[in-house]
Amino acid sequence: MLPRRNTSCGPCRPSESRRAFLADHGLGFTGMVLGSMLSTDRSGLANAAFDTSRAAVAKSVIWIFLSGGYSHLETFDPKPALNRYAGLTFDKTPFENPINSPLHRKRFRSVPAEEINVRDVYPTIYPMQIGFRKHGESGIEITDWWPHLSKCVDDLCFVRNMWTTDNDHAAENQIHTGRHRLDETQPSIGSWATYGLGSFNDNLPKYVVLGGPTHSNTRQSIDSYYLGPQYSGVPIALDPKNPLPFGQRFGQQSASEQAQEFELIHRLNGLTAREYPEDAELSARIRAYELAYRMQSAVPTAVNVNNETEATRRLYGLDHEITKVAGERFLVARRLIEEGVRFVQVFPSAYGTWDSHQKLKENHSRLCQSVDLPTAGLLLDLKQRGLMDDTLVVFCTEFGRTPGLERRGGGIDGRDHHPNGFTIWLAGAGIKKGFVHGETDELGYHALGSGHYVTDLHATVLQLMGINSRSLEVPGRRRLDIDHGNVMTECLI
Amino acid sequence: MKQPLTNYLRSFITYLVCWTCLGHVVLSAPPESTFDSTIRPIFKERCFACHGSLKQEANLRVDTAAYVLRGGDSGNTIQPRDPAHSLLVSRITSTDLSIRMPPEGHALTSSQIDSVKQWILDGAPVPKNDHPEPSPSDHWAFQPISRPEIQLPTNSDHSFANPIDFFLSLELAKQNLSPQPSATPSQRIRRLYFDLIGLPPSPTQLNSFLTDNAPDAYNRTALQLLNSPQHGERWGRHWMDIWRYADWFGRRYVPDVWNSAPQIWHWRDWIVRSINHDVGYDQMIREMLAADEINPGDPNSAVATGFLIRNWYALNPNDWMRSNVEHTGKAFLGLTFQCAHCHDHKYDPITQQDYFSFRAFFEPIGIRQDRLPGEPDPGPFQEYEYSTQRKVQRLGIVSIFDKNPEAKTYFYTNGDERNRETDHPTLAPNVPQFLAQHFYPPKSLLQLPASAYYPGLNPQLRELLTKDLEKNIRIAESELRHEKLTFETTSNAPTTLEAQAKLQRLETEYHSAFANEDTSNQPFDSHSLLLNATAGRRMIYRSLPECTQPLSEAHISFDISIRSKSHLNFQLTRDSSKGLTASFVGFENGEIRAYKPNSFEEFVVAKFDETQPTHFHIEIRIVPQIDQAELTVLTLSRKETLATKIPIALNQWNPYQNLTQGILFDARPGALAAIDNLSIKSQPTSSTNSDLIPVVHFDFDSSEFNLDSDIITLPHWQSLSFSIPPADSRIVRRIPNETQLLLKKEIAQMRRIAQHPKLKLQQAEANLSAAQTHLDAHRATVQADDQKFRPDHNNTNGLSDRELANNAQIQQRLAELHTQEAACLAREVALADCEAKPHDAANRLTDIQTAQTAWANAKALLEKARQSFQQPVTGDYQPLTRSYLPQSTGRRTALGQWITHPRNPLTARVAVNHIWMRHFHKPLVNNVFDFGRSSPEPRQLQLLNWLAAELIESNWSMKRIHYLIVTSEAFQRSSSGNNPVATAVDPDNQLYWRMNTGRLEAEVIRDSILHIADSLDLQFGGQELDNNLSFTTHRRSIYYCCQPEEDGKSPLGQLFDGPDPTDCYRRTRTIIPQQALALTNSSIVHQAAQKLEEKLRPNIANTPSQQLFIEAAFQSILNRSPSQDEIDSCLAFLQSPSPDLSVESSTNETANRQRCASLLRVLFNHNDFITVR
Repeated sequence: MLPRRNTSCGPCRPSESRRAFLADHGLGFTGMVLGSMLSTDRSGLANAAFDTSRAAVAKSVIWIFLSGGYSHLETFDPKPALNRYAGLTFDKTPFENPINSPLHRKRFRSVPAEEINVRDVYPTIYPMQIGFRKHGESGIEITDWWPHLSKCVDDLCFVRNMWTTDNDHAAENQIHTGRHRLDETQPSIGSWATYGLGSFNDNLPKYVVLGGPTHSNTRQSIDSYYLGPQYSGVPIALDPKNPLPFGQRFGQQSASEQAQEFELIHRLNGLTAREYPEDAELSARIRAYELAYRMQSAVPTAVNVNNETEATRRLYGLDHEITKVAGERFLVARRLIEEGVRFVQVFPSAYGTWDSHQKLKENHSRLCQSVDLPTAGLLLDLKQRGLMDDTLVVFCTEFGRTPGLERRGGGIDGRDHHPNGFTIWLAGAGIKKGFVHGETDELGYHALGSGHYVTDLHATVLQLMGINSRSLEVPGRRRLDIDHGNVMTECLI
Repeated sequence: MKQPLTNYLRSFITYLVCWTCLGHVVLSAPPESTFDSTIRPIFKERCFACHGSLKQEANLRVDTAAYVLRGGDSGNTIQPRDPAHSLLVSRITSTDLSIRMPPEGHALTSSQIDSVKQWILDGAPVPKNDHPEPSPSDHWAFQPISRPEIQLPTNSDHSFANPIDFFLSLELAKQNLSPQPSATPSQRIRRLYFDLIGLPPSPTQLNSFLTDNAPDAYNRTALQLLNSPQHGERWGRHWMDIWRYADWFGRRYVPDVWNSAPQIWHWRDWIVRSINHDVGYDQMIREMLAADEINPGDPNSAVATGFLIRNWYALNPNDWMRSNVEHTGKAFLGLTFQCAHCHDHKYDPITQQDYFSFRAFFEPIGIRQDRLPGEPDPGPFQEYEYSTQRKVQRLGIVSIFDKNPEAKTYFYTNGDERNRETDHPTLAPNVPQFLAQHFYPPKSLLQLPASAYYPGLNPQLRELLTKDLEKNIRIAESELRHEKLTFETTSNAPTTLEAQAKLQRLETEYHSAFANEDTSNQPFDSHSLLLNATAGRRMIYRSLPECTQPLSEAHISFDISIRSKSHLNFQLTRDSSKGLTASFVGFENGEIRAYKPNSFEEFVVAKFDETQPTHFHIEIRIVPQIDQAELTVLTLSRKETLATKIPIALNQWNPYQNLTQGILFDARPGALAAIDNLSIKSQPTSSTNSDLIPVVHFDFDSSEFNLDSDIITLPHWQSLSFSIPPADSRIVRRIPNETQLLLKKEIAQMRRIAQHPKLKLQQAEANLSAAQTHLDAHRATVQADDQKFRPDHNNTNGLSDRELANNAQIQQRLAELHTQEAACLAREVALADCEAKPHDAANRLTDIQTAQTAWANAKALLEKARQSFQQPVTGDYQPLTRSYLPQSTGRRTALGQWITHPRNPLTARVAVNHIWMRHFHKPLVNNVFDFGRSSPEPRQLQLLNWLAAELIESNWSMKRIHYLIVTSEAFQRSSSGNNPVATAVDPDNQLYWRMNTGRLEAEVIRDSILHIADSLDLQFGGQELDNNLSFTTHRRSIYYCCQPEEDGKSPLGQLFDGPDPTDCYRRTRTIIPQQALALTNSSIVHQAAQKLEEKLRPNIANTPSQQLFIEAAFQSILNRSPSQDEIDSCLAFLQSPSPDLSVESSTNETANRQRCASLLRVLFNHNDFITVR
């Protein structure tokens, strides 16, 4: 149905010797619906997920998540009013006091029970910590901490009226699963996106995770829960020697000895298959072993950036300490989608890195620098390789940061968590270019209008992949309306 | 008005168009009703919840066409043939969200709306069989369980030994299907082993079964396995899935316990034990919900309440309650209560009111943490507190109790506890009305036996405590003997004698120098506080907890006598922990300094003559309103005023509720000064009277200020970390000069050195007295406890309650006194040890300082112990353990009794369905946690009912059900699908014409690999082990950590569908390539293959021996013999050279053995190793 993207995929083609034993059971299941093939309980479901009225625009997604909550105010939603009224409380400005808005409480819910929660609201306006200016033909304003990305604004679509509800860092899980920490847990967006979708490359997992999640209790962000582990994100280490769990041969075992073992496994299972021809699980397992064998060599190749040109490596900032980590992850992300991976979730930095209760200026200026060039590099690279038209890039965080100065613990230079309004951006397949959608109020407090809850982003991603979120249902696991969200049609071409 | 008109016009046009198009149809024939095929499904999905059999909002039902036509409170719902004037259409198409239907979620889609319009346009034809939605009370799962009769069809020639086969045969006969024959004996026995104990049979076990020709061989094996201790572990793990077992989690990387508890594994062990003892399922439920009420005082049972503790969420008690409701409903009743958390249930007759009434069962609960006999006391259960980590406490047990019987359950809306409805009456515990028939709410509070609310009565605990105390005595006795021997040698040692001589010299020197000292230079009449920083630095801080309201005005005053030029200051602290200053008065080189108002800028307030001892009276008036203070400095005689009401900074100093904002004296190196008459007075905010009320006053004369003791041993006084030894801050009678101070200190030191041997001996004697009095006190406590808590106790000594209690209190005071005496002596010895070190020893001064502080503290405690004898004897002795409320609400007992009532239609059905699913790899009722109305009647309802009835009537014996199932023909059938007729008629095997194949669970895979290699450690129970140990240690998998964080699953569990502890009523079963990698590349498989190779080591040289090896390998790993084809393939493998070896070395022994291990690895990767055929 969908063509394999890179047909001349040299390094991951099975070697001749292995072909011999794989041949009689055939490899021709590219593009088949793997989920229904392997799980008899859900046959047919996966097909139902396709929204036949719309063609899939995005073949792959690169989902970049910046953990800790970047300040929308110091990144992509500059607010001059903050400088004008700096030091005053909200009620001393000509604007309506945002704390009095019913939206404040509606979109702001802490995990600790109210009676034991110590979080406060911060009504004293803290000025922007960096200047901003217009960029590109679109004239979109972003802050001066993005010298490279600012050259790409004409390719980006900013969504400035996002909101979420978790006022603690479980919001990291919320943007991926669509649910508040106090609600029941749901599969992550990456799991839904790959649930039932065919693969372009059987040698690689469909849903790969790079660089995270780095803390044990944010595993929800890549977990598939009731969809089963085949839809969980597969964390891959950028170490070509050992990128996958159990992806390395044990001890001194040689590749050829292992190949012989795989051959015998294959032969013996084949004998059993003769006896149980109707056993679908057995045939699925035979294929899984074939796939596993190939995956074992395909994954290290995919994460190996050594044979990229020097120019490409520089484009992603691999030659500088500060940009190296994010750059390498972005570059591998590109390699993976090039090889046909459906969903690559990238954590450029560790858990909570962007959290700036204190020293926001110091923290954000450094962190923006660490991703600015690599992000711009990724966009340029995708463009020059012609991948931009069918790759969707999502750049997001868990929440924004308060327009008010955080006073907790005698704070003097930071902002607190702010679920009431924040900014993300999208680029690539099916997305408007050089466009700003939605806004927050003059003080950057509330997402205006109905805004976009995090699952609106999910609905948008899914639709671009040709999936109707509402048909993604699993028996006995009824999802709520809020789980499906609404497509952000304004952002689409 | 413009908008509605436009809408109206548009509708009208649509109407015209439609009417025109369809006109001829209307004329020619009455249209087929699309109600059943198209309209009803839409209404069912979006409207029935409020307008169906469950509820009839506005008296409207839409579950039949007739009801739709009848309308509701708002009149006609539709105008047939006129969608534009049909209320229904206007409500479903409205853009006004306050009137649009359905009110929740998105609007109907345009194609759904079009269908509705079309049906109306067609004249809203009523279908022939226009049937209403069944009433909730008719739902199959809500009907009482009655045991269906087993009536063989008259023409049947088949007899059924097992009722399961009878019920399955009914449907099979209807479809004319003949079931598969029995599986092979080795398949059947493998199934049985895995199902009942989660481990494969060993080749010996396999063989003994295969050669046992007795007709009951299979059934006997089944019984034997059911009675094996491994059965509890196998089925314990299944039930742990359903009961959401999770080890502690939250923030494991900190670590910080937010969920569950570190001692929860006691519940796991209880589950395993209970299953092994075949404790009734009903009894297990009751204990899990209310062991504290039904088996009060029994810690072995109390741990069963881990079911509720597992749901604990430290940060949010509401979340805890929510999980308790949701999972009690899902696990035991198959009811999805959680839907009614935000609104009335959409399918089931559970209202939001029912939801909160159900929550009320749990509302009073709390968690208690109790000591286990023979272990130290873990202390009280740690509740959540912001910014305090909840530590990983491994000691003791945790259990549920009614902590707050008065707790109110409030109603709140939309699932958000912040929306509490304060005018809604609070809720009493109750069960949903439609099931309330056999619910008996508790009538009164339950009186608990004393052993339940006072665990100190536990005989084992007492006995082990006694033993410990007796052991302490023996140790103290032996130490004393040792010290006595030592004393004889050390008391006459040259160093001791030398020290004694030196001491005498020093004392004489001191006496002659200061005996007739002039006292005229003493400014203060009696005791004062001496800050002595002649060496080091002293920074003492006093917090002001006495300050119980915000200051509006205050006066601080003190007298100070300055004896040196060095810097000394008095501060109001901004943050004592960080050494931050809000305001200060400093004295240095003849200057008095302070901060300027509203700043941290210093200025000189006044000057004085530093060459003379100088005595001042300082007054600081505090005016928080303007954030300033006024400083007045007088000479002590008040003859001279150095400063009057000079404004100085206050910098928001306000000690109210702030223990880091108090007062501080900082004597910098070289400073020496005395303080007296320190007082703080303030004006109460509430008072209109301008009189100031003393907050604190210190003249250092009262008995709490012991002469020569350091003030930092008193409550609220502390030495900050900025202090540098050996400076101190003592209470003195006279203010000595520097020479005198030094000499005095030297004398004290020398005295301790001289007396060191004696001190050691005294300490050992005191230790013994302490140990002896502790045992006495313990015995007295036990006696008093018996008298107090056990009225039936046979009191032999004839003393009254009061007398025994008094005695216990006195004995405890004595024990405390002796303990503190011993401690004090130990500190003094420690100090002497430090002082005796050579003067150039590293850290000597710091060590002395630390030892001094410790000694001072010990002295203070000793003094407290002494003073306790001045207090009246009240009988208020220290109990052995914490105690709890003597009553419990009985709510959870009532809940447990209702859930396990034989007439409860759900409990037994839900349970047997779970059991069935884990034997047949498929449930009878598909949605195992939802037996509500969205769950259609199962095809084998009769069978389900029969099994449920059997469970109840066999005293809820689960082993009985297992036995019935595994001995049925259905269970023993071949799983082969080689039956074209049956495959065609029933491809999904809904009728059980064959057995389903199973796949080993993650735990069973690991356990079996180890077991096959004889490496499995079958030790029972205990604290959970880390998953990163799961390949290097070999306990059964049930004993490894299970929680939802990253490290909460074993590496195999991650890949082979290990239980998701957040919700695992039914495991998923997947096939992914990573599983293949885990089995080919993991150390566990390689090591097992190595070990098994050693066990089966063949004489590899000849083919027949290789064949035997292959045979044995198949028996061990796949529990069956290989076919000829398989033997051939394996032989070819063994005989082909390893690609890693050159031709000549390929014949050697090592190479052959490697090849054999390689073959064993292959078999571990065989599909039929992880498959149960």
